[in-house]
Amino acid sequence: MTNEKLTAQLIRDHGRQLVRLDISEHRAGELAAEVERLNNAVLDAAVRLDFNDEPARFTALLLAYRQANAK
Amino acid sequence: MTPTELLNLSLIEVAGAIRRKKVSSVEVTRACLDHAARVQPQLNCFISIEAEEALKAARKADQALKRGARLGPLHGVPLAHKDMYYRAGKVSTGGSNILRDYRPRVTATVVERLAAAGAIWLGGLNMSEFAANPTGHNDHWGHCRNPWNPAHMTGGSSSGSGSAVAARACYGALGSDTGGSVRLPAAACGVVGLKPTYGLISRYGIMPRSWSQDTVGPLTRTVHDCARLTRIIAGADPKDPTCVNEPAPNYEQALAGRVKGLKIGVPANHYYDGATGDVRKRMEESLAVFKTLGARIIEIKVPDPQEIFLLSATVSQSEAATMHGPWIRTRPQDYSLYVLSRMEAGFHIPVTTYLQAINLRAHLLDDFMRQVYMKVDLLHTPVMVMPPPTIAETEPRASGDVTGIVSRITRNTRPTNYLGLPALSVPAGFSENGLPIAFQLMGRPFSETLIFRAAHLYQQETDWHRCAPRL
Repeated sequence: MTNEKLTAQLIRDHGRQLVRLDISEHRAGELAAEVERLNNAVLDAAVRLDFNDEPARFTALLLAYRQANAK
Repeated sequence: MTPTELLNLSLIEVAGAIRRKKVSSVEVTRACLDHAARVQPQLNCFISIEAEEALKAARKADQALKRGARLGPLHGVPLAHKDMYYRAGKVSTGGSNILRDYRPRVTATVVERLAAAGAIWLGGLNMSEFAANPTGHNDHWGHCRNPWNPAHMTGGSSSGSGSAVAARACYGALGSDTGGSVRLPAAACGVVGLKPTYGLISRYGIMPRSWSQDTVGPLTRTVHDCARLTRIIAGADPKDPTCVNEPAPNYEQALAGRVKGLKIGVPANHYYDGATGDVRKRMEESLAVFKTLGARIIEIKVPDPQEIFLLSATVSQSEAATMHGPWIRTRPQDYSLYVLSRMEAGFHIPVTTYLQAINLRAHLLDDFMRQVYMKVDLLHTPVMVMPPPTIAETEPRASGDVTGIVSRITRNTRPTNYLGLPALSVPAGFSENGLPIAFQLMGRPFSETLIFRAAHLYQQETDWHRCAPRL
């Protein structure tokens, strides 16, 4: 499924209703494009995620590579 | 020694001269203070200069030396730091209007460690507002300027750290790097700058920008200086749970090794896109030096840095919006438009997207390690694909394209922060118009020892790090 284009109106509504920010129409348009770009990049990459993933795995992996370097 | 000769010493050299009583800490500190006062109107690299306190500390250091006290490795050496390193009760502005009078209640672990090693605090250095732009523009404290040509940007966000160290106003400085904020000013100002592995250096007591990607890093004139500062500030800190629970290696001792047989990767994709002729030439010349040292240069395709760039931006925007949300709602007029624009998208990114970006880090790090660091030991790339542009060219109000400016400047630095990997910016010569150009050496997690060794050997064969701007 492809997502529909994110609209400035949605950004404005979200700002007002969920995060208590009043955003001009012009700025909302710019933000819609930026949020869409970032969100899509993550969603596209997310096919690699596993059910058992968790944030701490990243630092554990850095340390594991440290130990591997030391050998 | 004349004041100019004193100021041109490296951190290692001046620490040795003070220890051997060839020069006093008061003489050195006074020389730095006088020079800082002289260059400040041109460069605007300081937010505050603490002359009296610095001279008092220097007198104390000289007395300790006279009575034969045990000396630290930075005894009597004047340093200055990005104005976001907390000292209990002292103002720390974060380069912002909002924190103009902020007096934190705690002292940063790295500040305590530098003080314990004997360093003198000269003052707080200019920086981008809330460490949130890569150019060095600052609407509240004035733009910091490049000592090689004050019309050009310093790079940011550790703008004052790059400018002051290059200008010889101090012997070293701390910056912070969340997307390139140490490496960019180091590159643009012609000094060395380290972005360490995530978790190597404590971040306790520093102003946050993006918790998951913030790192503390030193800027110095030589790699040896940088290795010394890193040795002092790195290692376990119970106050920062993200910090590794082990002491740091002695990076200075490791400089003595060789790099014969070392495999240095040169990316075939992304890192040279849009590179100017002079940047390409300086990169080729620096690789030729590594070849003469016995390293093997290997062209390599790296996993798509553009994808990593976007994931990194998702994380930093989300985290910045979270921490700045209360102020953005109540006093938005106290932020510059540039800085607001670098946080606002974070309010609209779903939390599930943010968490996916966080969880993807381990997968992308694994990919990067398999595709790059199974084949080579280090990666060599330009820090910026062009020489530092002018302040006017990168003024967001002039172009209106904030995202475009930021992307062009940080395209080669930001991916490293998302992956948590170490990288060192090293001066590699000058552009056709006399501005510094630099390469970065990136390595495996916690491979700072190898990075320092390779870069130190490069500096033994070249003298770019000895070039000083005429001020």
